[in-house]
Amino acid sequence: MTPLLKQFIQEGRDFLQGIAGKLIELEKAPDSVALMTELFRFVHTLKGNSGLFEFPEMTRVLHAGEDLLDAVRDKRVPFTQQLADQLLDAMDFVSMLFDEIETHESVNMSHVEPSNELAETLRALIIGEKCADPGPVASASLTVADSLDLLANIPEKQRFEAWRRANSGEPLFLIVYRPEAECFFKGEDPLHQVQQVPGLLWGSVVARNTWPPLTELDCYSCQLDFHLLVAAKRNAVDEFFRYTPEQISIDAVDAYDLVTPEGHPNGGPVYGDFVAEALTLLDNRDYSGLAMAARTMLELSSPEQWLSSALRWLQLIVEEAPHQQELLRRVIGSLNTLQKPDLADLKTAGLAIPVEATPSVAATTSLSTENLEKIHKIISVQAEILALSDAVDWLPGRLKSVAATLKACLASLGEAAEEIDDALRRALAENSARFLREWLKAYLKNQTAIAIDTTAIQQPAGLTEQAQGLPEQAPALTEQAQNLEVENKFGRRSEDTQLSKVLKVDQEKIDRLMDLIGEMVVAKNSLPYLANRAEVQFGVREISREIKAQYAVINRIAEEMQDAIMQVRMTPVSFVFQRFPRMVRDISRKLGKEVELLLEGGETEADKNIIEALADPLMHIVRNSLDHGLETPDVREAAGKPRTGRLILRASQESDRVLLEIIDDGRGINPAVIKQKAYEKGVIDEATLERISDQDAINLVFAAGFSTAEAVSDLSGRGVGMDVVRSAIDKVGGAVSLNSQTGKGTTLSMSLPLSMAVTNVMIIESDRQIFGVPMDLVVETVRLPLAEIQTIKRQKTTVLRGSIVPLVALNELLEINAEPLANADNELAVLVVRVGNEQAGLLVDNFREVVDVILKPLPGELARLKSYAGTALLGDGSVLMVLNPKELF
Amino acid sequence: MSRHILVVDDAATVRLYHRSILEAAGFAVDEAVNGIEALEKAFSTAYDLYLVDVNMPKLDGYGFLRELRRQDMPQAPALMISTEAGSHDRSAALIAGANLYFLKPTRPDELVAYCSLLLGGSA
Amino acid sequence: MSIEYQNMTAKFDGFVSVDEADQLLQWLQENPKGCVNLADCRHMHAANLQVLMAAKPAIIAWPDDVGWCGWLTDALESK
Repeated sequence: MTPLLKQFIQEGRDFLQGIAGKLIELEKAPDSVALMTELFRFVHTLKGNSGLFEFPEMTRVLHAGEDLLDAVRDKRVPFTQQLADQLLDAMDFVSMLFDEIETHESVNMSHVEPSNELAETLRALIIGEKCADPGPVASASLTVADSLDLLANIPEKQRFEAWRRANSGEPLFLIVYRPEAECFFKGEDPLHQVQQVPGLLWGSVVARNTWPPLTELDCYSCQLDFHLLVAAKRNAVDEFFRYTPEQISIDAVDAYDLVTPEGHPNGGPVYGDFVAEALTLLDNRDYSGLAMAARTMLELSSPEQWLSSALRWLQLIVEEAPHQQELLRRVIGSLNTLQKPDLADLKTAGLAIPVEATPSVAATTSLSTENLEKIHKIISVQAEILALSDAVDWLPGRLKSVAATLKACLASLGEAAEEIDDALRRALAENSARFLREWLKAYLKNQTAIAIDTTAIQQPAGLTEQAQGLPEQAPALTEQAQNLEVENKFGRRSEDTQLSKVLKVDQEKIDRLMDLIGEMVVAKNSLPYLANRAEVQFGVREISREIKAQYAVINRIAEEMQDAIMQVRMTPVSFVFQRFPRMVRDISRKLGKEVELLLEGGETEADKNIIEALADPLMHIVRNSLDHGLETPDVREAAGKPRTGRLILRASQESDRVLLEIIDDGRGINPAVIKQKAYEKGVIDEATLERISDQDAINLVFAAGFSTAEAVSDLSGRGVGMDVVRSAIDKVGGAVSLNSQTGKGTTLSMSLPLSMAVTNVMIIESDRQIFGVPMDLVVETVRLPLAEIQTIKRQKTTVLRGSIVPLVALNELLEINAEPLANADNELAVLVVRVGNEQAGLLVDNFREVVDVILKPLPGELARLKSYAGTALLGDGSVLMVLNPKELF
Repeated sequence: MSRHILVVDDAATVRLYHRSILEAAGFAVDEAVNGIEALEKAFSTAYDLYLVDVNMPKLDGYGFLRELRRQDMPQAPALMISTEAGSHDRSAALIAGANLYFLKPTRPDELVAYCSLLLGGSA
Repeated sequence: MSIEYQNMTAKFDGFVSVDEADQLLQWLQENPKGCVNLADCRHMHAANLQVLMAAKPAIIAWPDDVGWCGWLTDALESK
């Protein structure tokens, strides 16, 4: 990727964020001239930038957006919510294009049409406005009758060629190209352009209107239309006209419509005998005989006659596609009737004219393109299954399984599937796949998200007479389905945009620096070992001292370097926050709630990884607040609260931690309900149910077993997936707590480390092995005389600073069969750690030094061992297992 | 969401392969070593999806699917996984009662994606 | 490489650009019976074709290239 393109993408995404932000601000202050000016500038600049590259789809939409905003700015069009929605949709589309450009450095042709539609929608909002750029010229699309007339105008020779191409599987299209009147001034020469159209078979230039007298003719206003017949892939045609898609209409041509004899209607020899003979030859499948008979007959007839033309068609078809028995029969028949053969019923059943999927916009789901393709494939296969013969005794089971499969697909698309049940019931009653087949056909017809070759679900029985000798369709279907391009979605929201777009330096480069400094820290840690060996093993105390001195210098530099790199990685919380105005707006509107969102402390910074780790949990919590915490306006009013609920996201820094609070003034959490639910789910026992405090009860929503209960969400307003939130926060060394007052609201607080790249670890020894414990969890280390250890209810405890601390031997937790070792003074080493909101003492054999390490998660399957936070490489090259005390107890 | 899958294959390696992939993706997995065992399990447990091998002793994949589809009970989607690329094998599988036909080896991410979709969840 | 006007004949030569169109239009207005010789015309800009289509002058010679000639005859002959 060129640096320019990179820059364009980076900057473009910033603009998109800015545009979305301004739009939402404008909804609150629609009269703000400053906001509007800035918004216009963003769109205008982005449009200008896109023009530097070959992304007409993007430029087109942005241009329309710019024109619309220009009209709003000049007060010709009022700023409305609908207008904001449209613009946001358009920006989502542009954002999706950016994603695609980032991965492929190009834009897929399938976006031409959605881009057009979006641009038109935006322009449609400029009501009564004569815009500078006259959008589409009077639509150039064709009616069926029009296109048949056009086909009839094409000389026989070109129609023959077209038919041959279609017969060999190439798609045919009839194109009407209607250049805009000003096109000559833009340096265009449509006459030259049409001659370059891919797969051109025939073309014609026609006057758009009757010509005025020469004195009134404006020779520089284009009044020409172009009609073209091409044999080419649809996307090649789209690609060719990608800069002017609104000036063309493209219609697929059915090869049967080409078979129209032309010429003088009467005269010529008597054909009765010939028809009878030809039909006999056809029945006997004597194709060479039939071809010869036709040739002989042609020699007797004048070439201009209609009958001669029909004979030439007969000759062509018998030579190129003798298996088309029914077609041949009808062409022969037309020699008798002198009427053009009626082939309407043969269409789509015979010649495999690839019906190409029309790319279209589907805004309902957020499935990835790959998954849409998969659903597409699954549905095609079900269509294929439904077209199988019904004559098997396991048909009901098959139908049920197809229905189940289709329902699963619809569920994945987020669509309702009741109709399938109905279709299945009727299909089972009739013991035929018909109703399901019809349902699927109707569904696909209305379906814009999934385009499927519907010829696959033709009634198979009706085809049987014609099917003889016709090319088999079914096996080709899956390949076709796989090849079909499924329209990419732009239903994705700005909340999906990744944080990687925030840093102006390529993230990989920073990561590389990070890795390097990590190695450096580890390498420098080996110097004290070296000094030690120099002294103890080799007895050179001076060298040892020098090494130690050098170590101090290197250590200082390494620390500063680390700090500097950390600074680069520091990202303001606002990068997570900025997605919320849009999300809160969309969701609350959907839920019929009124919510005021306040963002505070967005400038607070933390390491990029921390900020990233925050994104999903935060989203989850905000969703929960919107869904369950905040009430609808009427409910709030009844409870004596303002109709508009308030949701605050607040970030602040407290020494080396970031504090995040999500505060709502909703209905709060009812501890009684939580207690009861937790008891029913077996999360707590009866004894706990009796004595648990309200605060502890509220914290139960974080318990793993609790959140699986679907019903809880309706009751409490919290609970769905809160254990997921907790474990995500835990993973980055954070803590989360919940406070709630019934009826007043809920506050969820998260505390996270500023950075997690380097972990401060205390090394401890137990049963001759060493382990690490993250320092942020260590409260203190004490040497405890054995006499001060009491056993209460079989649990070893001691009293430290007036409070009871339970003691557990590390060996016991790790299932090591050894007692903790006491030192010479009969004292045990106790490492007091923080577990949640409580403290616990870990009995170990000895304490060692505190080191900085780069914590690496356990690889592969080992990652499931939750009692370890990860591993770290020590200066002497050995591996340190770092414990996760939270999971140990 | 229900996510219980029955993996039917006589090769222990293949079963383990599928089990590990599917379990890692959060699905519950049962195994059967041939069509007979698969039928017995299907009668006692309402699975949400079947992954079926073609060639197996006692009762092969086609036989299992046909017999399964003959039962008057809810019918879950079935994915047949074969080593045969021929269109004949594919249509035989669809006729017998499969809802999708795959070739070995299956790519883990593909398999998981299709399973999720067939279970009605957007993966 | 343009249009040569000789007596009553406009002779198209090589590639005839868009700039020729208004002069062609003027000439055809002044010489309603003027003829056009396209034998050596390799291409003309659509603006020129449009003028010819509107004025319908007699074409006394067509180019050799079958494809190009096809476009021209289709546009100019029957109309």
